[in-house]
Amino acid sequence: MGPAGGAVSGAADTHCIAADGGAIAQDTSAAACHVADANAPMPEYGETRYNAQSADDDCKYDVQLTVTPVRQAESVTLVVKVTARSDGAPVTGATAHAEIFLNDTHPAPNAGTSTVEAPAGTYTIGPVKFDASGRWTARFHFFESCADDSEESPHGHVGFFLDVP
Amino acid sequence: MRVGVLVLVVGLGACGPGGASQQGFLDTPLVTVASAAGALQLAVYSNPQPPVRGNVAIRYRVTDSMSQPVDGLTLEVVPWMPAMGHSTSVVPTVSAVGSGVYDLSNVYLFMAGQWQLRTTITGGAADSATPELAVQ
Repeated sequence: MGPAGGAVSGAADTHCIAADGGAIAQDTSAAACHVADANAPMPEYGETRYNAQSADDDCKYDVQLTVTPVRQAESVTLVVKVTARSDGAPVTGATAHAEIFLNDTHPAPNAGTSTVEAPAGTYTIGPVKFDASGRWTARFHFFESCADDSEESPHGHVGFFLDVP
Repeated sequence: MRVGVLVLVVGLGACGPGGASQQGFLDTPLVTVASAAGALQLAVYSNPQPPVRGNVAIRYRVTDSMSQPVDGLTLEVVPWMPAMGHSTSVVPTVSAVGSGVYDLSNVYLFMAGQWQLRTTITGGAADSATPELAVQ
């Protein structure tokens, strides 16, 4: 069995640190959740993140990623723990989904992936399979049923690099 | 905006009008839609059919008002979840097979729910179509 891959070490994420060094924490509100307009624009995703911990693209949530050993063609489980940046509370009912791709023409193969939330705010997503070596992206989507059209919308997303040997 | 761009495939003429099942597609379309201008009919097949979340193969069989196959089209396809207001990061690839058949690969419908295939048609026709798929 060869070496395993996983999250990629790199520069710490600082996109939710203000110029004065303070933390940026965007509040969310269930009242701001509504179905997207049919002509909603394409959401803008932030940069894919190094390491296994980052804020989401809009600084609403802190997301901690745990990954079982990553090898080609083997089942991998991704666990994301989501907490609110405003108060540190677990973010429940986020219906987390993972969008996993090597590049814009190479998605992960079908593996019957499902998501289970347990305990509250922790989402176990798997199995996931990788069919090529390289630097993949795992982008996690939260509260996708809420339109991403207001700052307080619970809708969120964050991508992490994953290396597959 | 991410779109799928037509890639012409020459010499894949094995798929005639009756050959829909040769690459795992059923003979009966999942859905048939008219183009926005009404000049074209798109019979849409998926593999698997009905589609399940993940990487889904899609086939369009395009015909005109006389039910004749239409070749020579350029198709750009954006998978879109209208209720969620998002697309995918993966770009579908479109291959013209012949006899009005266009195969879409890398259609990455990563969530269950209602997806649209927002399809822009150029090359011999300036039109669009929006088949909808319920992904399980």
